[in-house]
Amino acid sequence: MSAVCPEGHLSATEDWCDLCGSPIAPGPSPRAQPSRAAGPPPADGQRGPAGAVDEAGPSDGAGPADGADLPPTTRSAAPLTTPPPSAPACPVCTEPRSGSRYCEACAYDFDTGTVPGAPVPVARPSPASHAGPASRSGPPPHSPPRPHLPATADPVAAVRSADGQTVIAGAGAGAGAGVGWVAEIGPDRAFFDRNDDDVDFPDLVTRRQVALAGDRTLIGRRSPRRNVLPEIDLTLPPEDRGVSRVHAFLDHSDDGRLAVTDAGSANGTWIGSDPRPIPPGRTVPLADGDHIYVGSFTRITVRRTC
Amino acid sequence: MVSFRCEVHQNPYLPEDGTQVDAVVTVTVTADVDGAGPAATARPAHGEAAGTAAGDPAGAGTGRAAGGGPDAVEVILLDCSGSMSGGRKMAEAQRAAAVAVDTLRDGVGFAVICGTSGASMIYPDEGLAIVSDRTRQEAKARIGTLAAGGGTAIGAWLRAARALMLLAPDAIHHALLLTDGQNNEPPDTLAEALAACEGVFQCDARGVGADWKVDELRLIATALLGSVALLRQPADIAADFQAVIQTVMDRGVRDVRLRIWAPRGARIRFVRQVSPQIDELTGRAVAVSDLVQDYPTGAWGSETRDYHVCVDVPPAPVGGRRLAARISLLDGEQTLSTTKVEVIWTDDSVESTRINEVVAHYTGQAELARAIQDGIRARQAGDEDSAVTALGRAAQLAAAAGDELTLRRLEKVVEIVDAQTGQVRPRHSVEKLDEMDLDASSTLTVTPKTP
Repeated sequence: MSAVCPEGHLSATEDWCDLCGSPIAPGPSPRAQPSRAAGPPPADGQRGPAGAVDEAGPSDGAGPADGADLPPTTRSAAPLTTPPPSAPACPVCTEPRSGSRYCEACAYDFDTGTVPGAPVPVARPSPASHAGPASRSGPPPHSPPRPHLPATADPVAAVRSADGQTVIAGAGAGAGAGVGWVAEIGPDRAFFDRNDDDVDFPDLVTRRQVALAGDRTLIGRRSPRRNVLPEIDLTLPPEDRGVSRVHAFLDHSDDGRLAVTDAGSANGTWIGSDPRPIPPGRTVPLADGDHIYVGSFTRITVRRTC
Repeated sequence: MVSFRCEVHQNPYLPEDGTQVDAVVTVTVTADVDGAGPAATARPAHGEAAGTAAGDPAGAGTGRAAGGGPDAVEVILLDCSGSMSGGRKMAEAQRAAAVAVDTLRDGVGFAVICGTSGASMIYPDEGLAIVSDRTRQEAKARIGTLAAGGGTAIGAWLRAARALMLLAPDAIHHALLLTDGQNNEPPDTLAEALAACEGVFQCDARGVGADWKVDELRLIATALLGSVALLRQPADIAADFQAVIQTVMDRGVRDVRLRIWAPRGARIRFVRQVSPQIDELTGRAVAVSDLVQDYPTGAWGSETRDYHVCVDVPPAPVGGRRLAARISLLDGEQTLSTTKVEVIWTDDSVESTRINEVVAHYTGQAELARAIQDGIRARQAGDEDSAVTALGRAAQLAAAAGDELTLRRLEKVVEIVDAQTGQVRPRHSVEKLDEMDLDASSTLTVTPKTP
């Protein structure tokens, strides 16, 4: 058994990350009471947070804005006796900082103050609450006009609809005039064998394609509560839990060039046969037919279409 | 069978930017419901094995480990150097060794070694004997013929014990060392012997009279996960030997390791056993992986021990939570018990500054041990001012902890004017035995007062 922590680490322990010690939200149900299970016990017999959990429990479970899927190293599910002040947040999208260099939601680089690929960091009106419905359903902060395709389609149904060859055609594909790339996503046995991750190679060997619309495509794992809505979403079957929520970006500009940037993923990004992962934060150009490897077994092949 | 239980004492709240996490882990071992302790559980094997091994000339065949050897080995190391002939020391040492042999449980492997400038076997002639009525009688007869004469070579004695221990590799290994003098081996010989013996067996070291060095025996006891104690009178040896052997015979789980996981970027500042006595374990860490360290704790019976673990963790923003440590006890690869040290960052200074009482208590006990040792060292160096300052602080800490025994020992070395404020006056005629007793007992701790 394994789990992925809010910072994207694959952890053999499912209560706390066995790498960074972050709490791992238990269960997918927003109505679960993660704080009760994960909160530090008042082990010394002094008044601990457990008493306070009950007070906050109902509001935790009442809406989709619960803390289950928020980065708990930045936002406590177990409330303090006083309301916690706002944690340092991303200046672009207001997502609380998880402790890593890059914003989990928009990959804003806290060190350089830039969003990879974006011309300038754009200050954005702060939503009422970073966890509120407004921000959840809101447009992605760095490219508001671009729709989040997997979020609007029913991805599972789409995958099932065509036997192994599913094209999720972007409704907004026309937004970028120079669309000319498609990514083919599927498990890769050789890459899986190279890793020693404690997971099984998926039985369901599907290949799907995603047309790269707009100027940027996120490779990651979907998390609506954290407003992470990757176009290339590895929560889709076969789910690859070795992929970070915000794993890497594909930048595809109008001039037809394509490049990949690892967004500080936990387990790295590889290209072709190079045994070394690409350095996080560095933009690496790609050519037609290049293979990108992420997670425990996923290969993404990019192809020029025009 | 026995069961291990861990309990954490800590203040889980850290201030903003706080990184230091202190926790005391209390490990309690209890015999399971039927009241069968480890010694008792070994007994059913007695009848069974005795029946099958009826023709065994040694009359042994009990308490066997799975591999067929004894499940425990005890080696008694008796100082038989020339100085032992003074007073009733040799006679009392012989009586004590006989009591120790009587206290050994049937089926245990044992040997008695006579330590002089070398080490010679008293019983058996070679290797290990298996405890039975017959071997007990034979051993006691041999012990009765001992005479004192020769030097003191503790390193050689320990090496001899080590060789015997290795004859039964799967057993619980313990040695009991008695001396009355200082080691007179070349420098480093003892340290090298200790390095060779570390992890092979545990050793309790006892000094009788006033001519041995506390530091020397403490070095041995610390390296070999045992205790050190002063026996004032030769007549005290027998009762102490009996108590030590009884404790050892009750141990049923060998070589337990304390395993600590700390997150990436964390640093383990120290790991220290704080009860029943202080033992620094920090330097004994064996890295299992980048994030996991193992510390030796030796063999366990039904008992309670406390460990103070201090870890620096990478800070998280206010409201953030992190697992600062995962602490387990392992027997081989089997996890006996495990517990977690969790932290939460807060801007509520009332929460973050509250010091857990157990952590505070043992922090004080560690300081107390240091203050006593510093004070005695200063006293021996003739630095009366430093001695008074250190021993005054010791009196204050002992009073705060309600540690009456330590206060009584301190009172014999300094005149305590006011323990609460740490006011003490030097005494000019102090018995050497009292000073040694205070020194040797300095690492013994008391448990926190229950509120």
